[in-house]
Amino acid sequence: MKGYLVIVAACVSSWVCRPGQHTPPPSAPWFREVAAETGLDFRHFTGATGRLYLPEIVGSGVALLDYDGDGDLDVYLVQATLLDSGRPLFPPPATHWPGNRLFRNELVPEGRLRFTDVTDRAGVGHVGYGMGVAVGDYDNDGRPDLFVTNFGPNVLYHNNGDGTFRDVTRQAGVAGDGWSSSAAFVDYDHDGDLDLFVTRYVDFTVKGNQRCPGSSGELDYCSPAAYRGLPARLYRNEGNGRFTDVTASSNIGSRPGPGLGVVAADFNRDGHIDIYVANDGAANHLWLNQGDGTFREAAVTAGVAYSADGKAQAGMGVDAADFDNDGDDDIFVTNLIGETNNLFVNDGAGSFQDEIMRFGLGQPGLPHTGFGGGWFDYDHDGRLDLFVANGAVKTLESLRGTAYPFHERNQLFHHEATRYRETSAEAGPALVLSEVSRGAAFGDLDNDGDLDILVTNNNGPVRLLLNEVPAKGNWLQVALEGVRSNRQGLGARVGVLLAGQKPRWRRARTDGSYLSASDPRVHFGLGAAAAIDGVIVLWPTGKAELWTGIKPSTLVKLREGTGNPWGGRY
Amino acid sequence: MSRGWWPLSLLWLAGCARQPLPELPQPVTQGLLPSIAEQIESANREARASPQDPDANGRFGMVLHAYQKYEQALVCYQRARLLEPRTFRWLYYQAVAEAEVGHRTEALSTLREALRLEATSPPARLRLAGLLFDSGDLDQSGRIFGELVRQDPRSAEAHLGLGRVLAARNDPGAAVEHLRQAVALAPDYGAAHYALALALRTLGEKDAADRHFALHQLHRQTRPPMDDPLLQEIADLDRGPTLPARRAMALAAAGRLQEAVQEFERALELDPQYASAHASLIALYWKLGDFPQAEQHYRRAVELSPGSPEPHLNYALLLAQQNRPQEAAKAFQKCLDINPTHAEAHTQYGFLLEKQARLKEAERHYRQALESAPNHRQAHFLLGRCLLNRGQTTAAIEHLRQTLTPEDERTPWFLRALSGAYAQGGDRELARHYAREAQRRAAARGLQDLSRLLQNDLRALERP
Repeated sequence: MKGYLVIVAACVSSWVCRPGQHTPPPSAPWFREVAAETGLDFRHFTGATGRLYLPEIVGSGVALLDYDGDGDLDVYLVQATLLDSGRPLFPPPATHWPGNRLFRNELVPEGRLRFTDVTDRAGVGHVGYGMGVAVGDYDNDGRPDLFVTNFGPNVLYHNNGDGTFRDVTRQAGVAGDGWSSSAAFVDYDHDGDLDLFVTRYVDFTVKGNQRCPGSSGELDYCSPAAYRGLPARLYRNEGNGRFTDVTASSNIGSRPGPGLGVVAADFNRDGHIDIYVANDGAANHLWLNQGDGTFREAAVTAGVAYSADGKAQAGMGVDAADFDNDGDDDIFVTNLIGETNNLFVNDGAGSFQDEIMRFGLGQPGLPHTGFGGGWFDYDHDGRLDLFVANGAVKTLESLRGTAYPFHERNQLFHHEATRYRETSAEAGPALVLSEVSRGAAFGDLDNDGDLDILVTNNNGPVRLLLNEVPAKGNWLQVALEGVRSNRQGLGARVGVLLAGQKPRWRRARTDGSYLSASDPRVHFGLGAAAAIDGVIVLWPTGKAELWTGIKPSTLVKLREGTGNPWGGRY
Repeated sequence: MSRGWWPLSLLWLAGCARQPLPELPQPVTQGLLPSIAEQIESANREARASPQDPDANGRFGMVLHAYQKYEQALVCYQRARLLEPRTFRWLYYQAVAEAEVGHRTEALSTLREALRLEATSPPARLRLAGLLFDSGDLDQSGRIFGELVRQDPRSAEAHLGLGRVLAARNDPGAAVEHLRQAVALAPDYGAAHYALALALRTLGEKDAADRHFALHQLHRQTRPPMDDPLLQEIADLDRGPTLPARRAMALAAAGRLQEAVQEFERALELDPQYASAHASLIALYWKLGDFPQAEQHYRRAVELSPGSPEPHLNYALLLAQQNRPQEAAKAFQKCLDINPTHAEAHTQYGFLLEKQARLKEAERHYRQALESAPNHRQAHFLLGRCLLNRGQTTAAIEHLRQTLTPEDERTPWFLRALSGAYAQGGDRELARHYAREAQRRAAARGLQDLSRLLQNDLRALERP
């Protein structure tokens, strides 16, 4: 009898140990996919002709920017093209328009989310093998400009302010060469204008395409190890429309690597903005800004080069934020299937530990290849949740024999104080889609105070995941206007003071994720807080200001020099 | 148990007993190496011929497992286990495959079941402790690692595991003790050096931490030899070229060239089309002085992988060394035709041209190298030297200054070159400064020949 009892208990236990299968379906989706219905008609074209060129599998990005200054976020999507004269394996639809696309958001003044393709009028339809996009107002004229990275020369579009852009790449001197991936605008020398950091991947050429058999001889896309990693490039903004390539003199060129993701933040809190690069299959790089125009690479000793067990992983996307609300910026990196993602927790002085397992994010990432993603507070409870865009880069055995055997589901995680919990299954059909996702950008596209997600798919349609999470807390959005600092205030840290709580700090940024650029407005979830004691801005040029009298659930615009001096400790 | 429970439990048991076998996987073997395809198909046939035979099912899983087809291997192991629930092997393999596909919770439960059959298996217990650590169960994980350390104090892996558990429990002092033991037992154990470096950093022992970070860099890919007979059986099934090629690369990196050649040749026996083995053999045979073999592998590498720049570069270097400049130039050009931004090829080609006194062309290639790799040290040095020879001292100094980092064996030589440039430009003070700096670092590194040269330089610089 005793034996039976044990067996029954084991069976019952194995049944109840699969809670995911018994989660009741949500009554209403938290995220509703609305790309097609709002006119975001875009499908990524890889140009694959069967030769397994590496660029075909790394995807393209997306940018959210208010290019026309009407108060809503427009969408810029990067497109690829054919790499040889072969016949495409996945021919584009008849309506396919080659080149990148700009979609204007008609929310203002129409009052409803709808997009119109304005690429031709805007003049931003570059046709190339597009990779990523960065957004920054490099000439401080109050209008966001676009930098597009390519497999091939890059493109800088200056926003003319009349709904059009001008290709100023040549004058600016930022075309570069080789294969660029993610880029970030960052005022690394604190002179009030945005410089440009461009990660580069490997020295692949079409002519030099390698043949990469797997362990049993089957051909597949190569890993980056088949090529040489490239050094990133750093361009210093001279303030006159020109940039100087300071890659060598800044030391950035001293460590090549297969770079894919980039994020800029003051990780060691010395007042200088540092740069973190996720490298694919090699040690990641942490470029510590020395404050004299040079950088020192310190990822290994800082604990952010490798996983907790000392392995170089396949870094793809990256984000930096103060997810544990302790005042410093931590780092999240997405990696390959079979590897965990990384959650590098900052000790406040720039030393990190990968605590992905402790926070419950290790196991859920193992069966997936992560690309874009980042922290955002989807339910406004004051804690940063996570979204990860997934999609394989080598044939998935379970899909071998299917037309495009790389698709995976994306993932959503809720921050529950000491751990993260995967909530993909509760989020609705948008998180059930299995696609080959790459870029992800976060922003409030419908101006309702919460953050939505734009996801690009390799060889697939763009997806707009509209945040409709019920019963959210209060929120605050802060739009910065730099005067001595760069106009968008990128690189500033914004802190919200709530009664009885530690300040919550967030970065003003467009960088992070993968090949993408997010909403520059700084977003806070406030939970049940009905009042805000103050908002602090630490501007990149060093000034610290405090504003009071700000109400929750509003968008405030803070101009440098209009707040009260703040001398508190950060 | 009350009488009312009987029918329910019997019903439940009947359900468990009748658990149907999952369908055997049907792997796609198209495009695989013929020998591997045949191996998989043969195992598949045997399993299908004896679908109720646990060994046939399990063996099919092992073959698939050997080629990282974990999901399909898992199904085979599940079948073998259902057919023969009391065999440790199938449960263990199933747990390993579950962990590989990211199903760690299932792997934990399967491993526990396996250990009920063979409670003392050290590889299974190590794996269980590791999975528990990953799941955040530090108590259980620490207990098992502790037991393993007590049972086998010479297990570097157990010490590493226990050290990591202690570090995660915010006890870096105790962690360091075990991590030091791990690296003492396995001095090339990269992961142990890394964990030790992190623990030392937490203790504020920066210098010691930096030493172990450096050792981790050196031994990043190395771990103690696998002491897991069951997994070794799977590894032995691998008929692909990847494993011998990997071994060859490790041997080559360790300077064991002849053994590396043997492993690459073994890889080529398994897959004669394995282009990267041919490419590597060019350089290896060259270093061993066997030029005909090097040349033969060059031709084969180019034939198999016409798009790869590396064989052309290796061959060009070989030809240059053999004093065959025209052929070398052609090989460099082929490399650059495939990859026009290949910094190393530009640099070496430039050097070849410089030796032929084609200075302008050499300079052009050095500059092209620096466009692609702005901190390419050798290109900066050669360009600096070129400019110096043409009397462009200021520009030369600019490039030579770029050669001073990183700090390594070559740095004192580059410092000497910079000193020479300042001397040529008439700045004797800076020339002396860099010569002294070079001498200091040369002495620190025991570079006696260079030290003597620098003494002469300094004497000359002291003369009025």
